[in-house]
Amino acid sequence: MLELLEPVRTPFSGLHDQINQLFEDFYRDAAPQWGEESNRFPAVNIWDDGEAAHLEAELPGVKLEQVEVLVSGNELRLTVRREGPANGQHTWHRRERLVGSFTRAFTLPWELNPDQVEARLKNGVLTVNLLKAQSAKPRKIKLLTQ
Amino acid sequence: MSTQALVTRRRPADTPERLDNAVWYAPAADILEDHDGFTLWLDMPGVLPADVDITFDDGVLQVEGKSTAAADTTDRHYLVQEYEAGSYGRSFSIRTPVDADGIKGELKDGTLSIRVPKAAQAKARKIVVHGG
Repeated sequence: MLELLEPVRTPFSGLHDQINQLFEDFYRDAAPQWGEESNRFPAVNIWDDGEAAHLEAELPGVKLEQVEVLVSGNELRLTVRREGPANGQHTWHRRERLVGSFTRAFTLPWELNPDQVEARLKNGVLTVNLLKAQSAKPRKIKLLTQ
Repeated sequence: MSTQALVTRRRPADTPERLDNAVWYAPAADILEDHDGFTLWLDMPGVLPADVDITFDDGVLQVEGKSTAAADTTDRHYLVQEYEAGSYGRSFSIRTPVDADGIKGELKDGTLSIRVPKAAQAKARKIVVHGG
């Protein structure tokens, strides 16, 4: 049987605990923030107005040919490539703008019509109109009398 | 699919503190210094060129981009909501003497680039040593 030993307390134990706490707080505060930011690039909003779904994403510094929108069934995949300023023999004071290739994928509650997807990129904002597939639209059912 | 809460953490605009109810963010920035000056790139998606304000006063470069294209969002049923569009504001203290009249800005694809040339006396000079 295992016996749990009480850790030996020394005059420095308190300090040791405090230092451990400091590191734990640091990593807890710092890590999720960075992870979250990079996982969520580009950040998107998707809403439904009954007839169609609309996607909006902020893509500053991105050109149309660097954006790919794929629609399949009820899935929507957005891939974006963003390049940073050219690197030379200079001094960077800030490098906060994310660069690289980013993909976001979403599953919508209904099928999309892949032939009627309209995407526009203006002033760094991407808007995509996603029409619902005919099968996903509500239909009026004719009632039969006996 | 349930509506998600706003998840993207955006840095609020730093200075000055704003007393309106609008949403203000600090734009993400790349800043490069070369021999002749500084170049800044600031992400301001959704902002129009006419709504950008750049001022330089007493060593402080202040940049504002007001978002005027606020869409009516009341009737939207959100499936995914990760951000709220807003205006952008940020200021930078530049202690190197600069040529304030030569500052230029250009807004393209939602990214504002600003060129701040250094004043002539602030540029590093190469001294040519002549042999005897």
